[in-house]
Amino acid sequence: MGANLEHMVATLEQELITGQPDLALVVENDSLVLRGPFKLIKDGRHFDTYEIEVLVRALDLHQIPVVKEIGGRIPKNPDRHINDDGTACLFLPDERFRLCPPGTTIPDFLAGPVWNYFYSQSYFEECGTWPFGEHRHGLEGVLDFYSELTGMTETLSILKFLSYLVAKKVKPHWSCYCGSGTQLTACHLEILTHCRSTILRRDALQSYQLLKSTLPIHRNWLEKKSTKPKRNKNSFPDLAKTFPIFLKK
Amino acid sequence: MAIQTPNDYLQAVLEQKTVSSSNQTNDYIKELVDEREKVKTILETKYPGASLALHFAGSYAKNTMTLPPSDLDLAAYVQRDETAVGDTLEDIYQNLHDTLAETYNVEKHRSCVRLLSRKDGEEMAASIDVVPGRYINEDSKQDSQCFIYQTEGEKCRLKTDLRAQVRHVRDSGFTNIIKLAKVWKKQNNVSVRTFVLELLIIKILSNAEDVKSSDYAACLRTVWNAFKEDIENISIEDPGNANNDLSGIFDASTKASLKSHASTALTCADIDMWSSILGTVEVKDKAEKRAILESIRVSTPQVAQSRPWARI
Repeated sequence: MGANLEHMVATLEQELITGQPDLALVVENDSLVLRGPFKLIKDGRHFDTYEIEVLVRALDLHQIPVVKEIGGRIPKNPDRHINDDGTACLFLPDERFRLCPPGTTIPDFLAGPVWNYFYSQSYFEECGTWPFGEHRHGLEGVLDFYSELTGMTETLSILKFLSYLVAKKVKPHWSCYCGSGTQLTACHLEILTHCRSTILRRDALQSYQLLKSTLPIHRNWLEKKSTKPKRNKNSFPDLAKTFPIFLKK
Repeated sequence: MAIQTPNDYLQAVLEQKTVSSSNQTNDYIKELVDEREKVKTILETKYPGASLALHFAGSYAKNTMTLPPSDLDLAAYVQRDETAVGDTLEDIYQNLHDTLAETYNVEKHRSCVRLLSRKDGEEMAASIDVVPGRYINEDSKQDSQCFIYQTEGEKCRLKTDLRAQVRHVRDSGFTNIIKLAKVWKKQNNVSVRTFVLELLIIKILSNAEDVKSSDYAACLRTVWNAFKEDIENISIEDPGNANNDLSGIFDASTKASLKSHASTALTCADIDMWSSILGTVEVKDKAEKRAILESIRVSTPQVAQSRPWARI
C-alpha cells in the first residue's frame, strides 16, 4: 500500500469535500482510514449521525472497504446486521456488481451502500422494520439472493448454479442447473452467462464454498454431463438400428 | 416545523443559524452580554465618573447576528468635552487599549481594540471589538455623530454616526434577508465586508418591486440577480456619513466575488439545492424525522436499494 498511499490520500481528500466533509482522513499502519461523524442528510435536513470508521483498502473498490460503527449506538447483534467487532454487514458481497459496479468511487460508496445501511438502521430504530427488507443471516441470505436471481427455489439447484458460476469454463452442453435434465444451451444458459459477467467470481466462490460446506453433496446433481445420450454430430447415424429393414437380405 | 418549501428551509436556517426572537437566550449571546458588562466595569473602575458610554454596535445592535457569533462590537464613546479618558482621539484609543490590555489579550486594529481572550484563561464566546470615539455634538442624544480614530489611512479620524448606521439596518425591514445573506457569505467564503453586504441588500430590496420581505427565497433571488447582472451599477453610501468613501471596501475584487458567488447561488436555488449554499439544518422534531425516513423509503428506486446481511 505504501507507495500509492500519498496518491490515494490526495485523491480522496479532494473527493470527500462535498460528500462527507466531517470525515477525517488518516493514515494508520500503512492503511487509509476515514473516521468521524457520518451524517444522514436529506434535502438539506440533517436527521441523524453515526460515528464510523472506514478502512479503505483500494480506491477502485476491488476490495470493499470495511465499515465499522464506532459510536456504540447499534447493538452488536446479528439481527442488526452488525458483527461483534462493530463491522457493518452492508450487503451480500455477491451484490457488489449492482451496488458497487466498476467505476464506483469511495464517495459513491459512502453515498450509496454506506448511506443506505445507516439510513436503514435509523429507520429500524424508529419503526422496528427494515425499509428495504433484509437478507437473512449467513447461508439463508445467500440462498435467498440466488433464489431471487435465478428463480430457483431448490437448494441443490442453487448449489449447482453456483458451481457453474465459479467454474473456470462452462460448456453449453452441460445439464442445466435447474434440474430439468436438458442441456444448458436449451434451458437457462442466458441467466448463467449474464451472472458470470456481472457477479465477481471470488464473491460467488465464497458463497459456493459456504453452501457446499453445509450441505451434503449429491453427485448426480453436481454431475455436469447431460442425462440424455450425447449425439455425435460428425458420425453417420446407425442405419441398421434405425431402419432394421436394411439388415434383411 | 416540517420543511416543505424553500421558505420553510430558510426559516429553519434563520432559527438555527442566526440570533432570532426564539433563541435570544442562546448561551453564546448570554456570554457575550456578560462579557460586555465586565468590560464596562473595567472602564468605569478605571475612569470613575467619566462620561464614557459603552454601546452595543455591529450585528447585535442591528439584529443581524448569526450563530455562532464571530465577534461582538462595542462602541466606547466619550462626550465631546470629556478629557478623563484622553485629550485627543489617539490618546483615548491608546488609553483604552492599555486599560483593557491589563485583563485581556488585545490587538490593535484600524479603528478598534480587539479583545481576543482573557488573561486569566477564562474562555470567551467570541472576540470583542471595542471602537473608541468621541461625540461631536455636546448633546449626543440629539446628534449622535462622532469621530473615531484610525490607526492607518490618509486621515487619522473618521466621522460617523453609529445610531444612524444601526437604525438604517435594524429598521430597514430586511434584517432576516441580511442574516440569510451573512450565512451565505460565511458558508461560501464570499469576499465582502458585512457592512457593504448590508447596504447592498437594503439598496436592492428597497428598489425592488413586488417582493415581500417575508418571501425569503424571492428576496434572496432578487439580491443575487442584482449581484450577478448589475453589480457595477449599484452604489452605496455610509448612512453614518455620506461623505465617507467606501470604494476601498467596495472595490473591483469585492464585486467580482459577489457576482461569481451569486451566479452559483442562483443555479443552486433553481434546482432547489438551497442547502448547498446555506448549509444543512438540524431536524429536531421526532415527527419530522419519521416523515423524512418514510419519504426516503418510498422514493428510493429499487435499483438503489441495498439490504443488510450478516455473515454468521
